[in-house]
Amino acid sequence: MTHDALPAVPAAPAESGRPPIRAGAALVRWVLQRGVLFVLLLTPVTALLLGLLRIVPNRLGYLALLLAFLALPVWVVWRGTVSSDPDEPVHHLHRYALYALFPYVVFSVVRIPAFYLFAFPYWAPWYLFGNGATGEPVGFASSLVPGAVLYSLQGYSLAMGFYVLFRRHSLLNATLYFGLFIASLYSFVFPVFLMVGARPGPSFHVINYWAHLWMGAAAAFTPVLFGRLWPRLNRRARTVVVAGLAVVWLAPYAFAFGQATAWQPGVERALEQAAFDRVTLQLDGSPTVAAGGQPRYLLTMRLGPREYQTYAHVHKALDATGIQVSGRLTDRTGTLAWCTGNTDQLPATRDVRDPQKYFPVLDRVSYATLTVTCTGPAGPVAPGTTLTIQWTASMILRGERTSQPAQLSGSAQTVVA
Amino acid sequence: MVVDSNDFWTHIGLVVLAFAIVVAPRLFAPGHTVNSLIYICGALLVATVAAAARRRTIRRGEDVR
Repeated sequence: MTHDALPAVPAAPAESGRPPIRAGAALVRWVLQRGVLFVLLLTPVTALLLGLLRIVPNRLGYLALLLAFLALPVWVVWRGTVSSDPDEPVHHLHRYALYALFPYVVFSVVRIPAFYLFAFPYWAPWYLFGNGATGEPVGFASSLVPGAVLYSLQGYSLAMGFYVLFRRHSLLNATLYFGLFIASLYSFVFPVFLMVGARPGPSFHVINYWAHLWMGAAAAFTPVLFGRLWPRLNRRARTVVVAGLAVVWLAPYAFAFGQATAWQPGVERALEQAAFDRVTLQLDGSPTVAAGGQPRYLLTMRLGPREYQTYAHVHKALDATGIQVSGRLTDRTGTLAWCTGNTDQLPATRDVRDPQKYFPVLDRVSYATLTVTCTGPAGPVAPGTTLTIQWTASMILRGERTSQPAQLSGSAQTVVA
Repeated sequence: MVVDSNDFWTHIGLVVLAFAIVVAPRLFAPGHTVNSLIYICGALLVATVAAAARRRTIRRGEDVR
């Protein structure tokens, strides 16, 4: 057959018309196969982010969680029924559900050495998660337990996201997703939105990337373990593997709860006691004469410093309640006036949620200003007269974990303004 | 070091979306510069490595559709 006898082949349509349509169809297929499933599985992380970004109140984040919880099985059943692509993630969710159990625990296991090297308690954010969900006070088991559950849910959700989004669960994809993308986002989100009162330095970021790289390695290795190695293992080897995995899975929780019980309270008490011991009450400026019939003098006193660092390197302000100040004003002739002042609440930082706004507020409240009024039978004192002020104050100083009564006293000489 | 089309565009989509939604609104806010730079460097590294691996995959004919 010569070329002349070959039937004419119609020219192919112009290429410019096809790619957008193919791309659009591919995108729709991607959304149906992976996108919707990813969004539903990522809801625990999304709810946290939306609350942190203050796009919605936290309670709406929990509503989103509930809706996703209801929508997920419906979506999975529907896609499982209509999908003819064997690679679609919905057909492999049971495997991914097993694989996703391990990356997030490895993330915390590899941070255990950081506790000893950098005094970095990796479970500190769990208290914040738990406090946000339950309102229970930070630093206690009542916020640590729900916080650990929320941390686990978020880590599990991120790992499921990896297996759903990516066709190949290779070490390269896992490293790029966990070790670079998630780690870089973590290095932005936590200092900017979550770490109120903390000054995360280079060690925070180094530990963050270190832990996420290992999380990626675990995400890549787990399918290999269960898919390729497990079928070849005999019963004894499988028992050893299961025992090892159980140890790895329990280790970060056991270590965190153990340290929270054995190490953390003692350190917190010591830090707070040292902060209590630093607090003094000092006269600030000169007494001013108040206008009015009976001679009155107004004293301004400063209570502080209230700032201290917790075991998790968070800067906080001590609280003080039931503050009662008593004193007297004397000159060479004797007592001029008796002084009293009381306050039950000091300015606090607990309502500051924005890390950027926190430290200026902390600086302002580190020394609290108290006004003490002195009233006496003696006549007014001429400006420029030297007076002696003696005071005693009683209060209850409160840290995050401990509180103790305190008696502060002092004296000073001053000149009437 | 194979990166197929789905995975490459997933990497790109993730870093771009996260930047647009989370980082960009606070890019020039005071005190966030270091954290923003860390994210941008990480995102660029993801995009660069993914692109290089994608090109290598296509050149070697290892792409699986």
